[in-house]
Amino acid sequence: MGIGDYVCVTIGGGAPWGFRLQGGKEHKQPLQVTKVRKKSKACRAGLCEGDELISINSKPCSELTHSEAMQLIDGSSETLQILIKR
Amino acid sequence: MMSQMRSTRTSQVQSHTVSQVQSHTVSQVEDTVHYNHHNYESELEEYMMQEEDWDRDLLLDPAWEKQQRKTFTAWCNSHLRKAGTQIENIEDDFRNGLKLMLLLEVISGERLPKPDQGKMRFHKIANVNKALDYISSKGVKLVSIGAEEIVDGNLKMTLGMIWTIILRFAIHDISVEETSAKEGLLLWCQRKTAPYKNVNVQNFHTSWKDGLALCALIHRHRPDLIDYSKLQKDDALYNLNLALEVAEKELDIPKMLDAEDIVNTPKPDQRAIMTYVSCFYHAFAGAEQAEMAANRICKILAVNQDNEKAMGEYERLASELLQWIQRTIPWLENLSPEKTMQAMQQKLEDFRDYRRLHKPPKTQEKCQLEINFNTLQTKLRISNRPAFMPSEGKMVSDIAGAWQRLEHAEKGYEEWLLNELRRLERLDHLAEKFRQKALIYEVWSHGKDYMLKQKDYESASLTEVRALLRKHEAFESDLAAHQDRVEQIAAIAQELNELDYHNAVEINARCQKICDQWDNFGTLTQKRREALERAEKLQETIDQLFLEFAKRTTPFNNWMEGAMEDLQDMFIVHSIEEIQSLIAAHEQFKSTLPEADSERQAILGIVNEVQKITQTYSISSTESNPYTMISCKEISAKWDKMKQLIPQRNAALQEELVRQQSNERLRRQFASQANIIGPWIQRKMEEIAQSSIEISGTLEDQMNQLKQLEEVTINYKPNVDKLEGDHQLIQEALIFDNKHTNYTMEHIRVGWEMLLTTIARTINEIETQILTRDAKGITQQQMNEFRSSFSHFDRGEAEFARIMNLVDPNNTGLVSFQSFISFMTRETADTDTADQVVASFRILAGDKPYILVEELRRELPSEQAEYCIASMPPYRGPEAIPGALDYASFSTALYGESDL
Repeated sequence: MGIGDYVCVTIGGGAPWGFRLQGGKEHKQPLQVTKVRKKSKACRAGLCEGDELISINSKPCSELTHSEAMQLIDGSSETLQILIKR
Repeated sequence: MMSQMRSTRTSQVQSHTVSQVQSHTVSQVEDTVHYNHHNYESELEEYMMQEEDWDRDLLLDPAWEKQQRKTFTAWCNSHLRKAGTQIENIEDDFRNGLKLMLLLEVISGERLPKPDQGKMRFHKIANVNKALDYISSKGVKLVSIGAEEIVDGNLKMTLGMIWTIILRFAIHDISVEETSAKEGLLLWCQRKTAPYKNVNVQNFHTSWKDGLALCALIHRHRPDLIDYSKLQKDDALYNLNLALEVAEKELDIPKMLDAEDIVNTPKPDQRAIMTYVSCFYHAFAGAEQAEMAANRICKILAVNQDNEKAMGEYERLASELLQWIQRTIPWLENLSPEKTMQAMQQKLEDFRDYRRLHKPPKTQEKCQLEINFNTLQTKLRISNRPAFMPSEGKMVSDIAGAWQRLEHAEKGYEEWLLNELRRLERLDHLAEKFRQKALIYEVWSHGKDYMLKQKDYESASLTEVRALLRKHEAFESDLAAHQDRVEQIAAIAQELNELDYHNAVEINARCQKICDQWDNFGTLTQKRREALERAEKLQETIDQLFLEFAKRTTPFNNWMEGAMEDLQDMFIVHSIEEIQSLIAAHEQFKSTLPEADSERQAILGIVNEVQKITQTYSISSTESNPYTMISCKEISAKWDKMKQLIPQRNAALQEELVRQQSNERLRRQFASQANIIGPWIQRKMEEIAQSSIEISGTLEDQMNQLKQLEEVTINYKPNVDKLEGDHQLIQEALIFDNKHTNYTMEHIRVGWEMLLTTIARTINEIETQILTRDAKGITQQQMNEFRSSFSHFDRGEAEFARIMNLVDPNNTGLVSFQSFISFMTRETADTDTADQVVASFRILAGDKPYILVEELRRELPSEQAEYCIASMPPYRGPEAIPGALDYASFSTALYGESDL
């Protein structure tokens, strides 16, 4: 697509966050937000569909597998901080 | 004698009247004498009669004889006592004539012939005769007196002789107012007794009886001897005795009379009385006359003396005055100048003193002298004396002349004094002025010549030299300003010389010193100016050279540095052309060297020039060029270095050229290869695509086709490897481009990979299709549809974009079939595929949240089972047991999605 904006989205309140993650290195697809549930924490935090995850809790995730990324996300308890590119 | 007496008498009578008149005038000069104007004629007659009596009568009155005897004896003794002898008896003691002679000698004061010593009569007569001769030699005629009578002791004769002697020696010489002898004596008595009223002397007998006459006589001359007022006329005896006593005691007149005889005799012997009175006369009148004469003489002498004194005084004063003038004139003519005003003023004061104190008395003296002179002359003229002739050189004219000279000298002196004072004043003023100006000058000039001799410009920079020049200019104008002053000083010195200043030597020396120094200043100033200007010029030249140096050095230095940089420049070239252009540039550069070198020479030349100048003129050169930091040494060093670098670069360039050439070869090598392989891969890809597009045949057929292709491809690998080798070489040689081929190794690699991948994927796709077909139960037809739709995107742009975003989020341009399938199935299916899979796994797991390895192996084909075993994460949820696998997350991850 071209140059995208980097946005740091911080979702608080603990899991479930309210979004669907797709992608991973093994799929040769970037980690991406495919769906954001309405009235969810993620939605309130400003996460949108199509956002590409660049880092999770300050750890870059573009080279991670899906499960690795999942582990990172699950690693956060109260707050999830993700750098996204949209 | 008689006739003589007569004649004298006559003359006396004649002269008497005259003498009366004369004596009257003379006596007026003396004290006034009163005398009676009684009849004198009768007295004279009587007197004459008495004389005649004597001549005729040789008989003496016995009374008279007695009186005469006494008186004459006394009289002789009064004289003889001077010879130390006396007579007792008058008629006897003269008999031998010796005492007679002696008497005569005493009376006259002359020596008689030597008496005969014999005792014989004739001896005595001889002696007496000698005496008588002597008497007659004195002009006395001795009539009827002979020596025999005397020798015989004839009393009358002896008395007569004695009387003759008395007459002759005591009375004859009496002269009173030209009346002589007896008359004179009488006159004298009369004169002297005139003031005494109770005395009347008419004769030599009765007038004397009361004794008052004698007393009066004594009293007249010696009032201290007798108190006349107490005397009584009738106390004759007393008076006579008194007179006799006093006369004997006080007047040294022996008593020649007997008072009683006189009183008792009616007419005393006039001879006796005459004799006695003559003694009085001689005692007084002699003295008196002598006194008078002495007075007159004294008067005359006094007058003489006065005159002489006056003359002497005149002479003395004149002498003194002249001496004083003689002393003073040289003093006034001493026009020797003094050195100081003070001394001169002292002189002036002295002169004032002279005028005020010393001269006036002298003027007075002169005046007095003149007066004295005139007075003296008058006196002399009056007293019939000759005029006074002052001694040589002391004449009035001399004095006047000297005085004139004095006054002339005075005037000259005063004038001279004032002039001198003026001159000295001026000189003092000038001298002071000179000193002041000289001092000012000396103070100013102190140290200036030292300053002028400084060689400070030798080590001065240009600005310093310029500053020194400015200072010097200032000094020059200062000097010019002082020119006037020096001239003034010289002028003053000149004037001092003209006015004959006493210390002109010192002044001149100082003036000379100043002038010499001044001239020296002029010279030194000029020299310094020249030196400074020269120094300035040199410094300017040097400065110019420095500037030139700087101007040329900087660009040159820059050029050199640039050159050096360029020469050392790291170059990276990737083509022969590049290196060749560098080489060309290098050659170009080399061609500029000669020019540069000449520039360098020129620059060095400048430095040499500077050095030459500083050495030649011995000025210190500022080693450092103010205009640049770059030194000549630096330039030379850089130049040398640069020169060194050139061949180095040359070599480097050549080396590089070789390398480039080899690179080129490599490139070509690679290119040739790549150009074969590339298209081959392309073809193969097309083949695959073609086969994908073509939907004929079964999947298995396709599979086989692909497998064959795969094999071919694998067999082709060595070529790629070789190319890799070439590429490695190329990479090692750091070749980054290759214009000989559009194919990069990456291209080839990627292509190769892609080929392989494509093959694999396509095989996989087919496998997947097979799987999917088998799994989903999708018919072949569906599959074909999907495939065709996969081949043809007939969706709209936006939709397409969305879809693309979903299926090709990485924008690779390549959409995997799997993702497409996923997308498609997701789009078509209602349910969440991941859930389905999870559900499927749950079934296989026996509704456990986890699945076991044995279960997977049991339920799924071995390949998928192993895949799942390998991929599934361990289950860590509740009721987890070792070896449990989490199929849920695997499933979601399988579909690349997780719900969070």
